Amino acid sequence: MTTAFFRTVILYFFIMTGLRLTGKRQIGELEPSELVLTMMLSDLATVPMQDFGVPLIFGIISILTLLCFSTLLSHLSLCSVRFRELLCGSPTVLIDKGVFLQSALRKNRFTIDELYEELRAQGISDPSHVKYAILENSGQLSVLQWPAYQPPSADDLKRTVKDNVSIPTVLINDGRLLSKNLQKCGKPEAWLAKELKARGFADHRAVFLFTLDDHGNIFCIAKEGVS
Amino acid sequence: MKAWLIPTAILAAICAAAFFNCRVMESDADRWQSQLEETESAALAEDWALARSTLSHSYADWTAHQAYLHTVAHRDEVDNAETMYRRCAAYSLETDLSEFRAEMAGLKQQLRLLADMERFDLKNIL
Repeated sequence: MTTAFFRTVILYFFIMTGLRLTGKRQIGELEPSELVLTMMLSDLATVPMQDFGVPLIFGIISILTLLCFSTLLSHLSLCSVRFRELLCGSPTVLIDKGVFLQSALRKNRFTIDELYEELRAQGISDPSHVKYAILENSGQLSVLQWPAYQPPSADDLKRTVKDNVSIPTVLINDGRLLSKNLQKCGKPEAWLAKELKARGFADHRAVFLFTLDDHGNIFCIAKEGVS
Repeated sequence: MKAWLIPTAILAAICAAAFFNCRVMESDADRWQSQLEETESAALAEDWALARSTLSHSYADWTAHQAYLHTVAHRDEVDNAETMYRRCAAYSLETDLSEFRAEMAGLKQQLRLLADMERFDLKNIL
């Protein structure tokens, strides 16, 4: 048990340090601590699952230790900015006001081809359109274009637009009535029955999807195979 | 309650349980070894009745800890010790001293290994 506990702690910090040293490129979409946790948890769970000679408690101790360490580290990183920087790193600017920072590219082992690939993936074919490119801690590239190449917003065009953005609430999901959501919308069941009747449905079981947004707009799809 | 208290408490509990397990394994192994020493002395004195009785007492003690051992130790090692106990019992019935002593040495070594595997030291961790 002690061996399992201390080995887990040592390997957790070892892999974490390794990932921080190899840089953001290795990470993908997760932060270093999340990636280490994901990698190690999946492997740890399979050992006692497959090898019946290993007591289940070895796997449980290792997994609990990892989860606790991960929770503690995330709390510490919330408390201290410096600790967070140490744990997750800090974003690196690769293009600053249109200037390619070659030393930053080299330091992060980012080739021009890869940078171009990332820009193309974001719909940018001309790098001169880029004002800032930032390599985030998660390994993703955030690109901000010069204002001249950004699509104009309503504010840029000095136009007023109607605020019609709202989140629709699902009231019927695959024939099931979601009473909680109906209450949240402040509508009685009688109102829903009336709306369904108006659309030719006998009851909610005949409806695949029924949503209502803040502006009172209703979206309704009939369930297939139910008359 | 502060959110970091729960993981800290769990880590402390794991650590405490791990060290408690070290102590328990160590004291159990010592006890079984002293029981086996007694058995071996009786066998050397050709008192096979006493040797069988002390071995049977030691085996009963060992069997009573099987559930715990299977929870905290590698099962192969526990099963090996179990097999050795049974072999020792068989040799004691045959009153074959040389085979009995050889098996007894192996059993004592195996019990020591079980305790050593749970001991907190650098050799185990590395």
